[in-house]
Amino acid sequence: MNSRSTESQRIVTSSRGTDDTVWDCVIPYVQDGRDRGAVSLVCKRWYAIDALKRKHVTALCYTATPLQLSRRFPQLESLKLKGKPRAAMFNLIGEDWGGYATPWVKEVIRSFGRVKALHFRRMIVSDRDLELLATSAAGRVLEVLKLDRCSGFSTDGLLHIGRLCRNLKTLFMEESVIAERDGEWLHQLASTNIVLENLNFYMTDLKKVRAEDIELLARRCTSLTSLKISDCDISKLVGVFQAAASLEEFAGGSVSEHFEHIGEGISTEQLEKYSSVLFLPKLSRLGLTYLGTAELPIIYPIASKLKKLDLLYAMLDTDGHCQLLRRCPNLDVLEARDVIGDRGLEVVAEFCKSMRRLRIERGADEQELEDVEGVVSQRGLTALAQGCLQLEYLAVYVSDITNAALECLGTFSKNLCDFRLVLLDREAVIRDLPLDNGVRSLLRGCHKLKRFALYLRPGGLTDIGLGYIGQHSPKVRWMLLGYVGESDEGLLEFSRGCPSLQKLEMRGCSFSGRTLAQAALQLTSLRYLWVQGYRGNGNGEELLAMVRPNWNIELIPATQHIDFDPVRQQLSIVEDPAHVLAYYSLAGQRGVGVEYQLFNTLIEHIPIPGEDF
Amino acid sequence: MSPFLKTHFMGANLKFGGGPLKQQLHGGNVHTALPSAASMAGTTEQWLNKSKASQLTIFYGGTVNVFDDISPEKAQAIMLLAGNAYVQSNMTQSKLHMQTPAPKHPAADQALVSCMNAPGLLSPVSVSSHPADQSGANNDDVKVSKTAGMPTTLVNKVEPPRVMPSIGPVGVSAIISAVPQARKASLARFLEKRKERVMNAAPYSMSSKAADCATPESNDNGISATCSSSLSVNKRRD
Repeated sequence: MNSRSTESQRIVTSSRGTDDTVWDCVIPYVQDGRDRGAVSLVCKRWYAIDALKRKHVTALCYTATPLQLSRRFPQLESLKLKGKPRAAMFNLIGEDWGGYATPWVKEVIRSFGRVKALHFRRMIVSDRDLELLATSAAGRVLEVLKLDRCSGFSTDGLLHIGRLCRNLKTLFMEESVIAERDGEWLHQLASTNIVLENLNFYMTDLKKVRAEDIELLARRCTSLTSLKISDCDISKLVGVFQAAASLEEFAGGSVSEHFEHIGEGISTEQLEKYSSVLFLPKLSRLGLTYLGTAELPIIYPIASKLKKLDLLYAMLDTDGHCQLLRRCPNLDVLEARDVIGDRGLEVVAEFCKSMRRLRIERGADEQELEDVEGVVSQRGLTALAQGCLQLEYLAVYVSDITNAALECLGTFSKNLCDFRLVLLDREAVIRDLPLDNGVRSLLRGCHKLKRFALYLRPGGLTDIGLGYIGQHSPKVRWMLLGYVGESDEGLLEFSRGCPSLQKLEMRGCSFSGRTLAQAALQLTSLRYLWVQGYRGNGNGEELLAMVRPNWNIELIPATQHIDFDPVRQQLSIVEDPAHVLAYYSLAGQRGVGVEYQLFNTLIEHIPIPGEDF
Repeated sequence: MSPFLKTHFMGANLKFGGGPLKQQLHGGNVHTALPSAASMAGTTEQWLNKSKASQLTIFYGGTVNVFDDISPEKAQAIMLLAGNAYVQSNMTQSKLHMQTPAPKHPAADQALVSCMNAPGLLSPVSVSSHPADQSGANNDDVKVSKTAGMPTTLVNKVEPPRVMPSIGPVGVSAIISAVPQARKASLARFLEKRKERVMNAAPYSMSSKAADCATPESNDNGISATCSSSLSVNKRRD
């Protein structure tokens, strides 16, 4: 090289520069997070290009410090952080577990100069955080703010956001726990913002929100596309529906509970008030809280336009579901409770041929409150598999299940990427257990599966069945397993497979702590583990086998709670077993409150022989 | 955070950890009030009437805390908790012990050890005159601690006599069971609210149309949603 002429050297340098320009141009087109992760491992140059060009990162908030992240990805435009384990959505994790947004908000303000979208999921956000964010330069350019199942803030914090974030296009607060002082925040938002496209405070308990402010917002924000609100009688929203010409999605509101003419059905006058929702010409996604059979006639005229329907919070019986769904041929997303019943699923299979995403949730345990017909079993699943060939996502709570139904899904549901099955405790005896063969057929048939959940009962899946899951889940990245397997052998066999498994959640299984630790080490892609219920003496000693660098291990001690059995009208004290949470982290052990035992002390005191890192 | 607040509820409307009760005890909406016989009596009367949320007053450590909107189930749960406070505080001690590496005893044994050291407190009946103690429920708890080697052992459910005869037919049992199925929090809240709505509608529907919606099987197209909700109320009260 050095012996060549200057000109040749220049040519060599510029051709190397051309290579770089090529990669600079090409790599940004690789958008998938995992693919970008792979790109960054190729060589230092590619790592640098990826780091500089990375626009979006999704991470558990404890895997790295805010500073580490901002140093690696200085040009980040969008950040999604997750806090509490998913089990928190089922009231299994205490509020004080952690997941504080404060350090991240401070870093965003300090150095992430280009962040336009911030998404906090299951985290604790304070009013001070919101104030800091709103008053900073970042707040002025912020376009998307999602406080997704968060807690720790009040409407006072939202006041700052409403007043100062003029470029906000999305404000999302679904299912967050918000302390409500007044409805002033919405008034501020409505008075200041004209570019809002998505407003979501669905499933929050905000009661002091004024319908006039929603209407003001709808009039001023001509691009408003999606509006999901807390309970507010929809007959007060006539003005909103008249003003929001662009609205494609509406959910929440509620149908009035003051039935003045009980038994005579809803009066025409009331029907007229509610039918104002029909003013919306582009409406294709709908969810009306407390929707009952009497109000269905409102929906019928627009039913054929509907692409998404949320019936989770409706008051329909099985027949009501059938009457509605047979009129929705264009539905591709449906959420309902299991009151939909097998009959409802048969209607879906017959009429909703475009169905892509279907979620059937668990309804009330007291069947009288729902419908005696309101149970889902192999009958409904089989019909669904054969009728809805476009299914990509299926999550279902069943009262009964057979191997044949699972085989049927494996045969027909070739597009399935996400499958979740929970077997409820309603039936004392499930005749077709174990489900080993059905599960194997499903996994082998649904070759696109990336997420998989199977929550059964003792005897639901043998060790062999667990081994099948290990063998036949080449692409599955997330799994939730409940009450599967019989012995440690099953778990070991399972952990020899699942080559892509990154995140594993387990509940109610009876594996020993030692084997759990072993399995965690054997699963080659595992980076996050959550387990509730394992055999051990409660202090976590057995988990020492998985101690390794950059692997945080946390033990949430056993607690008790009081359970009310509405069927037997009984209170009982129930013991909640300990949880193990383990995840890769560059940030070291996190500082937490007294209640959670961490393994940092153990790591310090116990030398690991033969390892020099 | 106090051990009492640490416990949380699944099932009907018994959320302890994140609900209004927690906020109030942490100084949010607490208002102290002079204790009065009226407030205590009023609370009992409301339980007897099985009406919805009412006021609960707690006298503790020289302070008086008044809570509004406490449903009967929540009140029962609070009293159950108070009645079992003895067991609870032992559990807390054992949890704190877990902060240091390698404790030798599982939680249940710690409770046992503490029981043995304080024989005077073993029988909760002698501690206070709270009706919960007389049920024998706490005796069952102690029995459970002795037999359960591991926290997750299944123990036979014991059916003790009623906790508070004035409340109604609510039994109390101490179960140390396998992990129960959890419900999604958002749905749990909705189902609770819906139950309250159905109960609220009862005064209207019970009088007029209960006769029309006589049979539970008459769930066909002709009956409106309003009748369905009164149907469910009827069924529930059966």
